Amino acid sequence: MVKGKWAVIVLVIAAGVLAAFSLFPGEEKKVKKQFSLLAHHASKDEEEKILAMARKMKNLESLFAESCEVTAPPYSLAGNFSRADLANLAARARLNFSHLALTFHDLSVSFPDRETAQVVLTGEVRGKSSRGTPIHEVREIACLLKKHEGEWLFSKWATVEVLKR
Amino acid sequence: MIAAGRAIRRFFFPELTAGFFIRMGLVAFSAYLFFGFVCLPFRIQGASMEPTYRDGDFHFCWRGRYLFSDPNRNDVVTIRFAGSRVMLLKRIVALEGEEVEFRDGKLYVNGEEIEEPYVRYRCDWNLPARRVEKGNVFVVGDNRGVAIENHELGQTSRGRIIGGPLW
Repeated sequence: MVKGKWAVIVLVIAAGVLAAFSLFPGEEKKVKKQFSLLAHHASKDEEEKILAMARKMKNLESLFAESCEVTAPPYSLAGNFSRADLANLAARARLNFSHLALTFHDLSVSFPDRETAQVVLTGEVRGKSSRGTPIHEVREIACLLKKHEGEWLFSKWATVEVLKR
Repeated sequence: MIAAGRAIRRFFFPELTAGFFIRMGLVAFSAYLFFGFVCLPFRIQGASMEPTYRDGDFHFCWRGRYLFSDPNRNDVVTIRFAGSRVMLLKRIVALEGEEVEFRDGKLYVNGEEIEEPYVRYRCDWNLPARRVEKGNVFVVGDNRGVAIENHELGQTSRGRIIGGPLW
């Protein structure tokens, strides 16, 4: 009887700890969530409707800071871009694909200060071009996110050169 | 006969004792450590190392390979991106300080033509000579049958090499 009582107490405490972790996620988890949202909004299904695309681009826009510095020599991109510019770029890039899936791996998050998150990760794009060619690209990416009104927003995005020609 | 049958039954259907769960936990934990950090299973995606390693092949990356030795020319290595979830599989063709170039599809290191028996598909690749920087190695895939613009090659830091395929 006493053993049973203790088991119930332990179970209740474990459930409480789990609930606390899921209800109040740490900053690292919040940062990682922004990446999964970005991957979701950037990915494209084969039968995507125009309305769904517009909604996705609007959502994608909201993940970026007012101005985001992008350095991506493989795609001939460098400079500061507004949210709208980035959403337009993404929309135009998506037009070249019949479907595409963006995934992020090996996210390593550090916080130089309370308002800044530095993330190094691997980005993987898989899909099929509108001409039917299979696409598979992998890049290492270094990102900076700034906290704005409680939301982590992308403010810097740079590709890292792994193989230098 | 009966004893043997009982032993077999006990082997396949063991009693669920505390000892059994401890042993099972230890085996699971050891497997997690071994296959998660020491010998990483991976599947090859892409044809960049054909014919040596084929698209879809299953392999293990042995992380201990360069613990006590340095990578050499001709070694096939795995190169990490931000982590080891996605890696590049390439062959080292030149070491730090060496000058590497391609002329009409042939590899030259320090001006000397290098025999590459592992290359079966060849294009007329041309890449001007360049010196491999300190702490770097120059890597290329074995499949030279695609245009050089579409093939990932170049120098990478020694620190990015996390091991090599087990076979």
